[in-house]
Amino acid sequence: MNEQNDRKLNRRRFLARAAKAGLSIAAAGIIAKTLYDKQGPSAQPPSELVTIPDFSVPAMPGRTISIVKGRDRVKTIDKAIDLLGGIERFVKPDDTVVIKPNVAFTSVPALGATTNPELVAEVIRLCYSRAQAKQVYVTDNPINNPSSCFTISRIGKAATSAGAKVILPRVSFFKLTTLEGGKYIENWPVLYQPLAKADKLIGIAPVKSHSRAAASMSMKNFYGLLGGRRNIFHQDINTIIAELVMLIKPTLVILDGTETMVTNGPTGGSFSDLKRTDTIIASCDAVAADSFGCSLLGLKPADLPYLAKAQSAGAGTADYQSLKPIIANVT
Amino acid sequence: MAQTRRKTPRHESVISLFLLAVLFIIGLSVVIPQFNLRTSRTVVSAGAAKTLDSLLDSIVLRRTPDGAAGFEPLSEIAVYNAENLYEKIDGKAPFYVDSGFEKLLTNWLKSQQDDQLMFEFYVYDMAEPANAFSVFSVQKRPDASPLALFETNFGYRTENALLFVQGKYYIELIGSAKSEPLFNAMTEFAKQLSAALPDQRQFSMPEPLIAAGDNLIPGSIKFYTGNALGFDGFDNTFTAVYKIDSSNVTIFLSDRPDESSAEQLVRDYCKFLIDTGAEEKSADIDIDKARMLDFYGTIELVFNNGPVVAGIHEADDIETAVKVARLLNDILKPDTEK
Repeated sequence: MNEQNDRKLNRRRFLARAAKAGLSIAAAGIIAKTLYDKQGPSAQPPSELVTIPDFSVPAMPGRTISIVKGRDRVKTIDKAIDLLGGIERFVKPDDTVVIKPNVAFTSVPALGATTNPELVAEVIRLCYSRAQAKQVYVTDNPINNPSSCFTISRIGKAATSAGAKVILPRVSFFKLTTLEGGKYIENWPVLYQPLAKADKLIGIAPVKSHSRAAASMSMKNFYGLLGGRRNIFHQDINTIIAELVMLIKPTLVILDGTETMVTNGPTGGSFSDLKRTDTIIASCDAVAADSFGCSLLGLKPADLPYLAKAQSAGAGTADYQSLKPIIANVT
Repeated sequence: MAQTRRKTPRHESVISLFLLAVLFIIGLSVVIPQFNLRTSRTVVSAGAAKTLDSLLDSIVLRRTPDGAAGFEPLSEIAVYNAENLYEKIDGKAPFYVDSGFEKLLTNWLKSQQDDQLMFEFYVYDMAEPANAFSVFSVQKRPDASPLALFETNFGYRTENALLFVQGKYYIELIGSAKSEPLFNAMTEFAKQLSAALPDQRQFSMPEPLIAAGDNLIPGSIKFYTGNALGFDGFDNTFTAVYKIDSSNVTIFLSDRPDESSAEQLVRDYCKFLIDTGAEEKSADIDIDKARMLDFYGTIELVFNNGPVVAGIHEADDIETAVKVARLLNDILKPDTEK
């Protein structure tokens, strides 16, 4: 058969076949070039890694942490921030500010599982009216449905009413980051897009008991900036909380202990899980804020291993007394 | 010039088509998952729990008995399994999963007239009544008021919540406010749910706790499927508060497979306490092989009676610990020895 075919292969037919073969090879080459991935099949391309900006402000000795007693959240936070030098120390005119409340659950404000919306609104007001911020964003990556969380917690409405924009997390907002020297935060997705356009970052968290970490406060609040299946970190919660405060360097943290969730945290569910402790802490140092905050839960700093871990890593001061906290009352 | 085209044999065509189909399927199996990106949340479907889901959907609160406004669901019922429970309750998830959790169905219901009034229901399927009682009892609030609204042995209410066990289900109804119309709606929901739930089994208390009678503080019994008293050897362990004279003392009971296992558990628990700072104390206790330890100023007393490990936890003084231990030991004795 081949011999027969070869005999019938004239010049015209040979050229046609050669042209077809050439076109096929060229097409395959073009497709291969188009699809060729110079990076190779690496799961985490290095070019995708981002670094979280350092949002902290220069230290002012004796003005690192304030602890204010008061029943009224608005008056109490105003006083707490004033004692540290006023909001103008932290937010400059035309700054873009990201506020990170705890919006983890579809839970109403009265249950205390999420940041109090009144407090969020007041901090936004201070940023705009006194510090002349250009734009304030409010964001979180809740474990429940984000839209429902912002709605039911009433943080969404409070934020927009005060002039801020709420950023709900989307897949494209997450970028991979690595904490140098970290054990867990390695090529891990974080809610980066809102942080990328921010000059300042303010965390606002309630004081809550936590069945895994013993307490959920300022440091644990930044867990909400992690993406991925972050629950795997619950197996070593103390290390991941310490790593969070090594990774995220906020401008200011506000710890709301007006009503403290003393039992059944972090979700609570009954008003009886809450206890009035009438205290708000404002601090440039999240470790110091939480070291005091745990006393509202009847705990000592030694009961929370993540505080010592964070201090050892140079991320803050667990001995908050050494920072000479400014203590005041608001009537 | 005449051309003779070689006709492809049929079997070659079939093989080629087969190989192309295989390649196509492989391609699809690679491409489709690329569009299934997830952040921290997974989409949950009610399909896995169709029956219970339909049951919950069938509960209608158009108007509560006192004429208050009706309530309507805020969204579809969400269903969580052991893999994604953390997406709903975060740090509490391991506690439920370790206690035998199988699935959770949850949703909000909102008043049609007052959007400040709403409640969220959580129906936890804990696989067994013992597991459901465990998560119920361990989380019980101190201000609990007994619930006598319908047939349930284990239920209570707080200012804004209503919580109970039925069969293998642990149910929480969490109100957004302290409100009578809201509580009435939650009560109506609970009644309808209780009547419709397929599992009507009741968890039974062990005989020794029932025999303790009036000295046991009502509602103080807790059941731990694991890690009772902070010791991982204590699985399937009951604790309860025993009132004697003017003191309240926590007792514990753990049924083991046989006497030698019980003796070993006593040794292990004592070792655990000593390793964490306790000091063994000698005391005149007329209970065979009972051991007493001083744990940072409180008294632990542990012994076994046959296959049952029993003890006193954090008593204020030796006298009280010994007194309650004797009572407990008498209850545990077989009838022939009493």
